[in-house]
Amino acid sequence: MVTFKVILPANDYMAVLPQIVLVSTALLVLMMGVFKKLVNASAPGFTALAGSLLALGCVLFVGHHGAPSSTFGGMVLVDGFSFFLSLVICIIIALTILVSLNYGNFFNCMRTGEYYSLLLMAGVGMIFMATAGNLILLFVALETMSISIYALTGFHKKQLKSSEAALKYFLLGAFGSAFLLYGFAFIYGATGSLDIIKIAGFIKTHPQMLNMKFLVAAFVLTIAGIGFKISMVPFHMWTPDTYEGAPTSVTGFMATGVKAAAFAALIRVILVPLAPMQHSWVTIMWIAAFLTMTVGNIIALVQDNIKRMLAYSSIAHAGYILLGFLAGTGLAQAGMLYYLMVYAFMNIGAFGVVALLCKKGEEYTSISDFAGLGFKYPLLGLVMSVFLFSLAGIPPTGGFMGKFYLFTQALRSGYVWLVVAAGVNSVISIYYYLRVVVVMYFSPQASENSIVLGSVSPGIVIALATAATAVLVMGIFPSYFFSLAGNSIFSLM
Amino acid sequence: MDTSGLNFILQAAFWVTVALTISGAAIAVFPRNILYNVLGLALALIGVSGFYLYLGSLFVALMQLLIYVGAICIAIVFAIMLSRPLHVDIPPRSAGKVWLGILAATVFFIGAAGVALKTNWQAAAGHVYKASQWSVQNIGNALLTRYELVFEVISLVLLVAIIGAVITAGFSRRISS
Repeated sequence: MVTFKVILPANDYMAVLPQIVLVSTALLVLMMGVFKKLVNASAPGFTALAGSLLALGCVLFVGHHGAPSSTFGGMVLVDGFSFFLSLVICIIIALTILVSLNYGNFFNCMRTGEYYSLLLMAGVGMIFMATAGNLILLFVALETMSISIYALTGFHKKQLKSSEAALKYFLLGAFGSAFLLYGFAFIYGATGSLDIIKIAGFIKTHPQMLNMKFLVAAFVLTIAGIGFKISMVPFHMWTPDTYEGAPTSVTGFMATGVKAAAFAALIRVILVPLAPMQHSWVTIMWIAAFLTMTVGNIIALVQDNIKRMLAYSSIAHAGYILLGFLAGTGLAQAGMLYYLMVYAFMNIGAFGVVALLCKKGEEYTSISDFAGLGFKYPLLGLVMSVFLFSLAGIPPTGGFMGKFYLFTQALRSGYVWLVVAAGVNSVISIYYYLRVVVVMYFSPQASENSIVLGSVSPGIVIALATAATAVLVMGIFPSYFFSLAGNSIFSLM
Repeated sequence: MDTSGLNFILQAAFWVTVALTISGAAIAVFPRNILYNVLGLALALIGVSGFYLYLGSLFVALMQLLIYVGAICIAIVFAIMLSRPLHVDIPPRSAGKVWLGILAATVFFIGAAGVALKTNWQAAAGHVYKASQWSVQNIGNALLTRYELVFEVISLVLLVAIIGAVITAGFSRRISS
């Protein structure tokens, strides 16, 4: 007979404290929609902001002292990796809410409790994905995140593009989830366990498993499922349309949060436990990383819509991060974590600037809309330039250091030609990132530009200033952040 | 005790289930009225859940009924209700599609039959499970002890799905009002 444990140890609750805070806030914010007459129209946004900051505080308060452990019977892993990713994801949620507060001034539907509660629930899913020690929890968390984001993508009810984006993302995302689940079923079939730690242990003690096609099938299906989420070529087709159609605040969230959570899942499920079968995935991942970088960068060259351009650039960045996956060492994993953190700041920043350039009910997303912006709004031009320099990987920004760490580790592991390709790709990418800077500062049509910033709330100023500062600090003092990432890698000892 | 009578009834029930499933599948394919097709599909799926029952897995049989018949077929009926009216003339079946369909079905059948014939169905030593191990009661216990956290997160998934559906379907009215 199974004995029921009625009272869980406090450790269990401490491990999921940020998630509890976020869910409570989400429910509170959702209820605010019911009492419309009693609460201020902007109350849901500020409550969500307070909740996300509280969750961030919880992550820092709980910390990750001591040896890695697990709670809820192996369901949630408590280690540096969980801490780091929870931190990054909470920062992403807070920044996204700050951007949304201002974006809601242009689009009324973005101010509702539903919007913020979906945002927070997606965040809960992301954190669970990064901390899950069990494949079932990981899958359910992925669904929580995905379903929230499908709904958020279609939030512009009056724009057909937004509905199209949501439908495309939903259909392809459902396919991706099905692949992932099928892959997990194969992993379970091969190893007899759903616990990540036990899976790794089984593979270590049964090396003959590696010769069976079972694990290869598991790997291929799982990487296809996660590849959808990180927009790895050839599973990237939805990215540009979805990023373009989604509300800009949501696009920034998708590009950073989903990617961080999906890469966390990639490290948790494949990179570390299946490390003994590394030799069998080198070729396929080499090609995938090469294509992801190259396709993203080449197509980004010809984009005139800045959201599409940033979408292709996010594909390219996924390719750079895959270099760390290929290298596979602990330091390479630290490089991936560092890059995910920098990427969160610079990408949310860039999308935040795009989200600022709106008027009531309309967005300015063409690159030519940026003409002369650098002189008209010098500070805005400056922070946008910082983000674009960082995305291009130009020192002294964090983007440069991130690439430096990833490329060095890939070189050490012997992927010389792939690093050469990545270098060439970085040079190509400079063209389209700097094109925006050139348009902002040197464009002849600058005098014709009639864009006026409609609404600049303190929230977005804080968000952009924080992101720009973080990008610069991570570029100038990288060693602190890199050692933080280095202490946070997921390993099995 | 003489169990031959019982055996006979069991055998008869099995073949009735087979007949139900096959005739349901035939109704799902041949009539040109799509509503009949859906109902045939539901019949075939009920038959499949009968097989699970026959194999001693009550839980899977119930899930099959609940998910496939109760949810998916009803969802298809809803989809039919919201799409082209039934009384509009249906174009005749094209011969090419029929042949392609037959080809696809044959390939699938050969594949499935090949797997069924080639597999050694003897359970490996040490891996014999009793049917009681996946009884509904045990699954319920596992769900609320070992998998309690997952159970909670699933409720979150459902909540998110409900909010998403409400927004996708009915949000525009609220904005305009």
